[in-house]
Amino acid sequence: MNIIIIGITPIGEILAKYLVEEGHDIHVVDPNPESITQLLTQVDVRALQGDVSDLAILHEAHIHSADLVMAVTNSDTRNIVTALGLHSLAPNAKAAIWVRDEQFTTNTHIWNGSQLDRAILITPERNALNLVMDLLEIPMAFEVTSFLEGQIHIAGFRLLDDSPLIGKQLKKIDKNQDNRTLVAAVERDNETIVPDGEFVFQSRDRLYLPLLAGRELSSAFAFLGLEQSHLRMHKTRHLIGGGGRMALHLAMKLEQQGFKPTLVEKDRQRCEVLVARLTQSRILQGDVTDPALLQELIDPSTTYIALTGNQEINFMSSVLARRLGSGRSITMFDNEGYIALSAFMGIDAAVHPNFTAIGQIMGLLRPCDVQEAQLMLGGKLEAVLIRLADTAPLVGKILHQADMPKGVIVAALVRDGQLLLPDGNTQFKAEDQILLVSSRQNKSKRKIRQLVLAER
Amino acid sequence: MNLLMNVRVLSLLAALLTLCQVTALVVALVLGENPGPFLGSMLTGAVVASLYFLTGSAKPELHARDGILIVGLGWAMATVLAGLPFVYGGWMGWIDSWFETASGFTTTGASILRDVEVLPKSQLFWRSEIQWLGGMGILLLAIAILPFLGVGGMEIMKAEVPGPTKDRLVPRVATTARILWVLYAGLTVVNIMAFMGSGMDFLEAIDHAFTTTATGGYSTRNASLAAFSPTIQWWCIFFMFMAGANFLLHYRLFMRRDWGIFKDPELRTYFGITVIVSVFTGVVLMLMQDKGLELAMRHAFFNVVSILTTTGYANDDFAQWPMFLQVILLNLMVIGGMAGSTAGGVKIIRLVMVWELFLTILDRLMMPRRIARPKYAGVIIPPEVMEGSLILVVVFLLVMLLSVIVLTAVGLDFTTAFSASLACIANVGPGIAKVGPLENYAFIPDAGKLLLTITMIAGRLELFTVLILFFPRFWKGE
Repeated sequence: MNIIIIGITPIGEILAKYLVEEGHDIHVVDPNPESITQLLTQVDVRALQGDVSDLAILHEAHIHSADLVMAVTNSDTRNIVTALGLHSLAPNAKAAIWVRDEQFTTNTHIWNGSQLDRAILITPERNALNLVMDLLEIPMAFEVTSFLEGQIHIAGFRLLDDSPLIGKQLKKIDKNQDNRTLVAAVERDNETIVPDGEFVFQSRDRLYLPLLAGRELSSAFAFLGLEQSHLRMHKTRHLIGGGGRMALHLAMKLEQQGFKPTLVEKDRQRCEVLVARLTQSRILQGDVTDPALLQELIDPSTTYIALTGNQEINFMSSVLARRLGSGRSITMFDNEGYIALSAFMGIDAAVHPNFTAIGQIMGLLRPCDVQEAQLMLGGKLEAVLIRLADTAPLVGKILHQADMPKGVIVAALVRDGQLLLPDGNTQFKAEDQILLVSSRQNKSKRKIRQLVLAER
Repeated sequence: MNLLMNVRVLSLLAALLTLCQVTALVVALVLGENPGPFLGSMLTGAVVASLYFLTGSAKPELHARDGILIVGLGWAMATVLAGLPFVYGGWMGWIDSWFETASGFTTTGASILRDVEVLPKSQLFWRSEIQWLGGMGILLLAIAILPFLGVGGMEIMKAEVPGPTKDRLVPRVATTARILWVLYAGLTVVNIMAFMGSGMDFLEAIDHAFTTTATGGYSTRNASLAAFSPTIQWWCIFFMFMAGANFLLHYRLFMRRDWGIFKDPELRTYFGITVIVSVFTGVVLMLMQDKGLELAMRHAFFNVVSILTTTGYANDDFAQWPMFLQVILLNLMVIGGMAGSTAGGVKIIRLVMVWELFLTILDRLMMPRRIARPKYAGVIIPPEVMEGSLILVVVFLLVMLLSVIVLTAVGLDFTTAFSASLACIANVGPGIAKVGPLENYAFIPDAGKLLLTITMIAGRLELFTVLILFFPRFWKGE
């Protein structure tokens, strides 16, 4: 596909990188020559220097034949105006625009009827915020991703040394039909495994489990051998590092749930804004990398959430918080290099806003049967939600006879609005929605597609 | 300052007061009482009002200073002019009449009359009507019915409507004033009907409804409300409470069907104080004075609401209550009713704000890095409003103490001087000791009466509007 990315921002860069890996042709437009030089050393794209308002540049980027145009400059309004202009420049192209302002992302109905109606909003901050909320509701998880507006979560858990699972073979684990737990993927030594029956659990494995809305977390905890006491969350105290837009909205959501979070923000002026907007929260002016300050605020019932605009500060303050005895620390960053490091450094959980944006775009680029897509484990694992069309070969087949390729697992199934965990005897029907989890480097992708997608 | 325009506005105010006396004149004529005092007073008023025709060249601009001066002089003039019927009727001397009228307009309800029942009914009617006019504000009435005052109306409204912030219900000041007066008049009419339905005669129902919705406290009986049935007393409790609530909330509830008002922190505090203190008082009265449940609760609720809303009615001589209950009542005087009501005192909202500031300071002490601002209903209290509230509480107490000094200097004992000063600055009326609910202010020397009169007006206009007139910088204008 021909894709145009307007704006070399962190999110633009990461999108370019992943879309090239997926095999797409990409033009990038940005006014800053240095950003372009920088990008070209890393990614195989065609870059054009100029402003998006310059039509000549857009024509040079073959906008008339583009399939997808993504406006990801730092300005919400610029992105919106670009999407408006697309209507006449490239009537067939899909548009995806990055918007950050909460007013734009929540009040989307104001765009009904305008050309923006068709544009996909890339909302990494909002996605990340929802994931932080999910992480707060799923204790002990180090990563979570959500489908169907939170009906299905895939959550990653670390296997502790004292877990009863260690040394056991997956097929030998006694499975209670009602409270079954399914293991969608395991990460071990930087390697992603979709386990089969022969798989044996080891200490320090990281397990990805599908969690369905309306089911108790306690069965998953029992399965993993985690203490049920972690599920009592009403005593949690929340300490939020940073006072930016995300921190503010997280604090507002926590206040709605009856919590009284504490926010630490460096800038005095920003503190005043926070004080004005929040009613129950405590606002402190200070630096989250100041150990004396954190020491005063942290105890074992504290969950520290790092949401400053600087990922290094997020990373380091989370490590610091953990060292000072916080119950849990959740951090936000996008640097792929840090993802493996974070577990090693004792950070409990992380969200990666820009990766959620990749998921949003991936869903857009796949055939229309694909409804949602998400990346996990810093892009090593992908989960795709697919609606089975009448003509999909999988329809009518029973799972264990379906000849599913190795390394792919059906992690969840939605049938007539009901959420199910599939087992070997599950028979697929048309209109089922299935959640497929696989390693992103899986060699047998073509085979998967043949199975699940409609025949044309 | 635009003095000519000030005079013009004041002449209109005189005309307005003269017109209001028509009602009392009608009462006198219908009952066959002597209309002379009213005719004389109206003639005097008409002479003052005729200044209007000499000031036709005045420019209409009014600024903040003009608003203050108009309110200050307006109140001074109104308290003199409206007292003329008492003087012409021979019932009071000049100083007594000024005290009585000021006590009326400020809805204080402190009286120099040893025996009210000897006065003709028309005089008592006028005395109650003065209180009613002063309740919502005589100048606010002028704004409401004289449209051209809209120019500087906001300045006048700021000075006359009590409370730390002045909200307009609607964009225009004149319309706001009109709505407030309509709500006020509506409440009065309902009150009249409630009193009549419970067996009061027509004229007395009007008299008492006037002084209830104004939270004034003038009665036509020496025994005050104790002269009427328990049903009437319970109705009176209800209407005093309603009048002590912010009329902005009345507007939202009755004209906008906005049930959100019950979340208002000031209303909740007002309701909470009323119920808790009344029930406590009732229980104490049951235990210590062997009163029955209904009687104890009626006495407790009546006097607590009467004092808290600064009405000053009595249905029991609370001077006979245990001393600590009397001290509690004195504290309620300081609190007063809600902002934007007809009640006096420092107003509950200010105390809520000061309390919030106190908690904020505690928070900052515990954690010096904490950025905290006092909030009211989830919104930061603007610093100038906070300062205004704090300084008002301080000045309120200072002026009161000053008044205590002067009263003790003219020979009053401390308890009497203290409670009289407090009862006047908070616009309550009765205090304790020699100015208790069944006593009066007649025995106080003239110097004391003059001081208390100024204190009452200062208290009604929330101090600054009156105090500023005593500072040279106001007159120099720099």
